[in-house]
Amino acid sequence: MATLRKNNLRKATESGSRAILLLSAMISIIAVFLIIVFILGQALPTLKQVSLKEFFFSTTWYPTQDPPHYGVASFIIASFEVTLIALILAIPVSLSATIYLSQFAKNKLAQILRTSIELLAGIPSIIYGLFGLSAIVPFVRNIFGGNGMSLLSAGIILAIMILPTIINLSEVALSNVSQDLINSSIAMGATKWQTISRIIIPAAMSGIVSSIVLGLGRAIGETTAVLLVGGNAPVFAKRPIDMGRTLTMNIITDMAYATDTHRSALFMTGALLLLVILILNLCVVQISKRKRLEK
Amino acid sequence: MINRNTANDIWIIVIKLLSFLTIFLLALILGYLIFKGLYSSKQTSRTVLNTIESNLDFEVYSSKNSSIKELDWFTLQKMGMGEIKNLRLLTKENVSFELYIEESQISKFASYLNLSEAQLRSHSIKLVNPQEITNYQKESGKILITKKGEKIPNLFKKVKVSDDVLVVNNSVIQTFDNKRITKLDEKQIEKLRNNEISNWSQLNGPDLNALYIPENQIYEVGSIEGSYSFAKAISFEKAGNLGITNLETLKVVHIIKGINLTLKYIISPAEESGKFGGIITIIANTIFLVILTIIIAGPLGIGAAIFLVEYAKKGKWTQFIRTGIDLLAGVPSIIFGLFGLIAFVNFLDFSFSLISGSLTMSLMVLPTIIKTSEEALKSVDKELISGSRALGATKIETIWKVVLPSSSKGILSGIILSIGRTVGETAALIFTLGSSTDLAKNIFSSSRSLSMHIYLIITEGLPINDAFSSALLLIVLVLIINISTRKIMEKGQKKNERQ
Amino acid sequence: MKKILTILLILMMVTSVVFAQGRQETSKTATENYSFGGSSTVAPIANSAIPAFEVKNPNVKVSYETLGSSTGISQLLEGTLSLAGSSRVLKDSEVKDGCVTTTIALDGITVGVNETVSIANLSMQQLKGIFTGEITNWNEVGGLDQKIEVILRDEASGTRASFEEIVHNKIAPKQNAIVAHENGDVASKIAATPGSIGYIGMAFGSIITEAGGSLLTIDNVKANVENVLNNTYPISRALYVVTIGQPKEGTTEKAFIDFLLSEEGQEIVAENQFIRLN
Repeated sequence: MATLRKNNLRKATESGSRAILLLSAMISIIAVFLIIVFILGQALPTLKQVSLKEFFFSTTWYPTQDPPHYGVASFIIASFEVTLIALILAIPVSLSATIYLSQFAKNKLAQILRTSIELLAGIPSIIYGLFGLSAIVPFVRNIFGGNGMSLLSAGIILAIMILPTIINLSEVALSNVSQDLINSSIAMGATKWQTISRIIIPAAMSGIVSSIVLGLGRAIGETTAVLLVGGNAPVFAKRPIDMGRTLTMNIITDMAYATDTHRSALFMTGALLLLVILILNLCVVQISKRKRLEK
Repeated sequence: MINRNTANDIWIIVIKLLSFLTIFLLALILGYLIFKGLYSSKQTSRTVLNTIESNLDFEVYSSKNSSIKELDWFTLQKMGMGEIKNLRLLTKENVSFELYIEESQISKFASYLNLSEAQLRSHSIKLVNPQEITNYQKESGKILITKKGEKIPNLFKKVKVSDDVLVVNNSVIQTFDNKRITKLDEKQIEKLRNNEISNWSQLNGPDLNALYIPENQIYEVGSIEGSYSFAKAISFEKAGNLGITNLETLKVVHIIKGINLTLKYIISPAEESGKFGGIITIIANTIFLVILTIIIAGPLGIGAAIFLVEYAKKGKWTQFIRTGIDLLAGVPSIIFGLFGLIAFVNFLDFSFSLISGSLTMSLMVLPTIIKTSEEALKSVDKELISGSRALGATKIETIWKVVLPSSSKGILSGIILSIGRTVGETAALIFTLGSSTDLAKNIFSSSRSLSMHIYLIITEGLPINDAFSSALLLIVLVLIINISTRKIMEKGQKKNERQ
Repeated sequence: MKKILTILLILMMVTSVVFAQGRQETSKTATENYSFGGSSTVAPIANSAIPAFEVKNPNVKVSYETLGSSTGISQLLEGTLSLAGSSRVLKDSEVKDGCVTTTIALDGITVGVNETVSIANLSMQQLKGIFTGEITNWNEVGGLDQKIEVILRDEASGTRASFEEIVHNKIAPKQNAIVAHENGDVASKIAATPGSIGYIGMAFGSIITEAGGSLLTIDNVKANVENVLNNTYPISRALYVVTIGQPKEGTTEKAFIDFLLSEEGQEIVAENQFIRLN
């Protein structure tokens, strides 16, 4: 009798636990859903005052003027420019590091490289911002002109920040390339470089692209580091050495004091940012799914 | 046509160079931050020149743990006149100030400061007997004036007094064409001393001949345009008192060097919103934030991972959940901040508090915990599991008693990674945690974390040296966290290999 | 595994005890929490006055959040704060919503330049030209051939509102300018950016000179206490605390305002290098 009750208790615990665990797993998707809903909810009232066309295409952002202007085009372009600079600088370096790690993996230097990448990944963004402000800004000012606070400085700092992201994922992709493929290439007399550039990289291309897309996502979403070095001028930056403001910088600068439509406009900016990143992430998921299916 | 082997070699070199750039960047960043965090250099301008040797006939001491190493004549005079009640304007210490003078030195000190003995005595000056000096112990905020050569206990340290000034006729600092000389640096002062300057325009001043006047004729400086003299501050003041007009002093660049991050700074509580004191309250608040976040996110993340590994069936639903986790991982920190602001601060009415901050951070670190826990759970030896089930244990019992313990190292590393993330986060916490520098009384108190403190120092314009010292501390913490994660993971791997 | 669980459990217990303690304390001694906030110019006065005020009123805990004058007032209207600090006059809409100001100090706004700028004085006209973007190079006002970098405060700033009203009323400021967050941030940016010019509360002026910049005279008048009091220095304003309606007798807010206006409070004002009312 006691055993039966004990068994029932164990069964009940079993299904009860399963329910709790299911709930825990669901939290992520519920959270994503809630985030989208809340942010959009706060963002939509903007449309009562501002047309979509003005919001996306006007370069005038002047919420405290009478009448107010809410155009984020300059910020969209600034975010894009900064990310582009970051990618141009980061991709060659990360690919090199990835190739080195996967092809020359044995020696001690590779170990140091790995540790360096991990440490770089762990440095908080505010510290990157501090470093950027005190070291990169004067550097850019002296070499390129302007006052140093610029989209270029922001791009440089972002490049360093996304190196670990791109390297980690590309490395996985490169290590998944079939060893047979590599061996046959070497057997046919190809040099190391030829094997890398013509066989390995193309084979790992989808993984590399995923990693770049994730790096892109990280760069677009970065706030504190770019805030300290970008200059934060709410105008259209004509050249990379000009001061500019990205979408993220706009949100954090004005959020503390914005009210009503100004506030909703900032949430609209956030919604835009969220949308872009969600789409990017979904693309990555798609790419890796297709890759898995191909296998 | 380049030989393909040469091409190969060139490319290999390029790859190696670019890879090492990564190591170089890390070394650069860490080295720079460590240097700035430890060594501070502040440039200001002041009236007195940097004295090489002061030849006073009395000694000046300050409390050993005070940061005063040097005083200028004008500040010393203010101290004698009782105008300085608190050291907060001179140093970062919010302590009240007391001046102690040995009875026998009063007249010397008074004449040195161009004050009468009566003036000196009428302010809160404490007279001290050399024998009783040991009573006035470690407390900060004391300046002691004693006989030259007197033996002073180790609780005090000598202070240098600078009392030279550069006196000029006021024609030298007048505005010409909207410009004027405001200060000179060491090199320019040297040139003046060595008689290398014949005209003030050489020092970016007006077009006037620079005429040197010896100190004993300092009164002449008032009447000759372009003239200057190196004199004692007291001569300058006496000249002023005698009614000599047109006498001015030219300011000099003064560089204060010191150690930035000190143990004292780390363990002192923050006062007046970070303007004075240290950062221990902020460190404590950061620890509270971390503990609270782990309490919330740990069970949720591990639970989700258990579900995915042990219970989930391959299908659309599971894929849906996994996509959700990946998407959550990609959301930028500022969006989390905005969400936290609406959901926790406003909607749930938790206001700016520890709880709002940790709920927000929990969402941010959840994907990390889930992913690492998943890896750890998957790598548990399948035989262990089947063995347990064979013995009649239910699924949940197996998980609780077999799977979790053997994957604990991996799970722990995920948690430690999340701790690192929490400690380093800024954007998401700005809108949710608050900004108070006081020790949080409960989970509804406003507080700030170490990263936020650095951000707020920069945006509030507090001395940037503070930002560097806090940054150094933060980096050290993050490095420790990183290294321990790797050690734990390595141990876990070795354990698996051995099995 | 057991070890980890035990550690976690202990941590949880310790944490809950600490926090429970906090709440216990709150109910035992009925510590009331007050949230004030607003202008970053008023912040030093508030932050110095609060500890002294709490010594006199041990059951009270006050915090002052630096949010900017505009944010402080809007949070006051929303009810999040019960007292706001402002470095500008109220807007009509704020008066209509019931805001009332009490003057607690006077302050001048001084203009600072980076050490590479050779100019020592500007007229009000030139100042206006620079901040509205009409004048873009230092050689237009007698300096070197150097681009003028303008540093502004963010739009929540009362200092910015006061400055703009006095110097270039109704005309918009230059848009392509560096935006700094608080008085101290302006000082850091002036010190760090060659060719820059910015305005700052007079009490913060020493940060600029300490960092190597210099303060300008405006119309040949130096920014100091005397000149603000005798009205020869053109850019000055009062500092206020704002409440909804007149501060009521018996409330902590009224007590705090009275404290600020008392001799001790005005000493604190002077210690922080603002101008006392008496």
